[in-house]
Amino acid sequence: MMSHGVEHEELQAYLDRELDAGRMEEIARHLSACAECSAVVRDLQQVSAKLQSWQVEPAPASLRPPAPEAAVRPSAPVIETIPPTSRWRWRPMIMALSGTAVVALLILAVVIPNLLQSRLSVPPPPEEADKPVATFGTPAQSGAPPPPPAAAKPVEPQRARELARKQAAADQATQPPAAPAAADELAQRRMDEDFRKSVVAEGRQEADNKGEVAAKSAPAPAARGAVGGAGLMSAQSRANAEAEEVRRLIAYYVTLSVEVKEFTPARDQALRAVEKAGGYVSEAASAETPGQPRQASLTLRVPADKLPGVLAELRGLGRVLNEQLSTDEVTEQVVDLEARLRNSRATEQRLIAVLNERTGKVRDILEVEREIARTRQEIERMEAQRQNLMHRVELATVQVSLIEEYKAPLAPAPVGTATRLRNAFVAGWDDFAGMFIGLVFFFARRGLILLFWLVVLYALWRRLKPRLLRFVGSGLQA
Amino acid sequence: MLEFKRGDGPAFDELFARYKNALYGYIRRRVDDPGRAEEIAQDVFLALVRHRNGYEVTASFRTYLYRIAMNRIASEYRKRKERDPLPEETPAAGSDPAVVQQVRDALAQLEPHEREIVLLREYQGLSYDEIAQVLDVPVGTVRSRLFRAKMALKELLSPPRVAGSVEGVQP
Repeated sequence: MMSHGVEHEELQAYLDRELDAGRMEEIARHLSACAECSAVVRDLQQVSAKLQSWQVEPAPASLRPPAPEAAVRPSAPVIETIPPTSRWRWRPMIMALSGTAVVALLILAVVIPNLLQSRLSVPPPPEEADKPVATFGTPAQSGAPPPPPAAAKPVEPQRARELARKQAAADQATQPPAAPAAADELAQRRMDEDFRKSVVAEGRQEADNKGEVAAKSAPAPAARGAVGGAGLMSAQSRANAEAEEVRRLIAYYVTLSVEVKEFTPARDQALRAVEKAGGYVSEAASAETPGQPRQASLTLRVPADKLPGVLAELRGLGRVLNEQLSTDEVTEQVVDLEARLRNSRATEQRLIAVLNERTGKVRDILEVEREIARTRQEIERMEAQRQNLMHRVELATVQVSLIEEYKAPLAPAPVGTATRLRNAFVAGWDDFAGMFIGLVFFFARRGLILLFWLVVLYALWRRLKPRLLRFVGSGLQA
Repeated sequence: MLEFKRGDGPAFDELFARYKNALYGYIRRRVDDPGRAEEIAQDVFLALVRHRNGYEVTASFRTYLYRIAMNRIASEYRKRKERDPLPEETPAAGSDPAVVQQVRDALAQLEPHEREIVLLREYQGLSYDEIAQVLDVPVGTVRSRLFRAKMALKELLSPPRVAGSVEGVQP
């Protein structure tokens, strides 16, 4: 309410002397001239006077300053007088914390299974999927026989493609939708691999038709029979039958650790087994260290078809600690080498024909002879490589570790009590000194950082302590 | 209070002597039972002693004291309402019982936030700034509410209009 430039609220403030001096003078001048405002002031003064009629008795004499011990030990009434507002102040915080915890748990419950599922669903790398490695790591599994060495499994191109497609479809069905690209890539790789093998087989068929012999590991009699009765077979069916003769050339590597009771007889027995199978010892080493069991490391070359028997005999030497089988397929390398050999031989024959049939200048003749020599070198080098590969296929490599059962030597005579006590004191002193040296090094390394944080925390505590105490105190006082 | 906070025992005795009547009167006007009012006053002083280290010169001591007292009284009301409902206004000692009762009736009809301001200003003599700090409201709000309350009290405390003039015109 505004009246003559003076708000009526100001009149009460004027009576209570809650205005600044200038305003007080203005209102005093205004009141001397304004009857309405003067009446309001009188009314306010009358109300105040009437209110003052309500007086209460002075504080009773029994109200005394609280005793110091009462101030130390909280009493029940003080606790009871904590207002519910304090409790209500905590309730939203507790509810907020509980809500946050529930949300966090829900998020974890949703996220963790997805993470686990995504990790489990990651397909193995294609290299590992195709790598023909079998591990017999645990002795319990060591009795499982390895696949037949030099397993002559014919490759049928059409069937291989179909199988690859089926395998790819099966893989895709088992893969989660998150990784379809990986499954497609794996299937495509398998199909490409089989298609490549079929092409290689067809190429070999053409080479055989030209009469050039490509020596292979022994062909299957069934396939031979099929070829022998080929009078009624068409050229295409004969080509397919020849393609089936392409065999996988696989080199086998076996690692075997055996713990034996008697070291020397076991080692001799292993050597005899290899000799009986027609193999030989490539490397042999023995080690004997005091306080440790004797060990022998043997590298054996065993005919691939005798490998299961030799392995069984080696396992029988004692307790198998570890066994691992890995393979290396060299078919592609051999076929590639043979193709290059055929080409080089043909080149050599043509060069020889040129040299025999044509006459020319001496320089040209010498040039042809140099080319023949270079081609011959290539042929011999490739034949050596091929022979080496075939040697790896024909003779499996077995790496055997023979470990003697450890027999602890008889313990030396016990040391006397006085000596042991002295040793204990010496060890204790070393530990004690080490502890102090460790502390010195620790403080030398971390002392400045610790000091810095101590200063920071102390300063924070000095600054926040009054506020914390006031916060706690206001809750209790309330 | 700062001297007492620093460990000066007699300083608290002086505080107690200075404020015990004013505090008791403030509580007594809110609580009808003199014994209970004394207990609450004792609690307020006890809280002062216990939490003297939390006191800081961010407000006047009177503000601090009345804020504690106001919270204790609010707690008392709340407990009483829960267990043994008590009439908000009961006659208390005074010079003229009839006038006192009229004043109390008038105060009882005010809005609670206006009544609190009137009590703190008229009986405890707190300044507008101190009232604003105790109630945690702006000073302008204190001024406007006090004026409104006083004008309302003027109407409530004025003697009833004489009905004779009206009745007198009756035939």
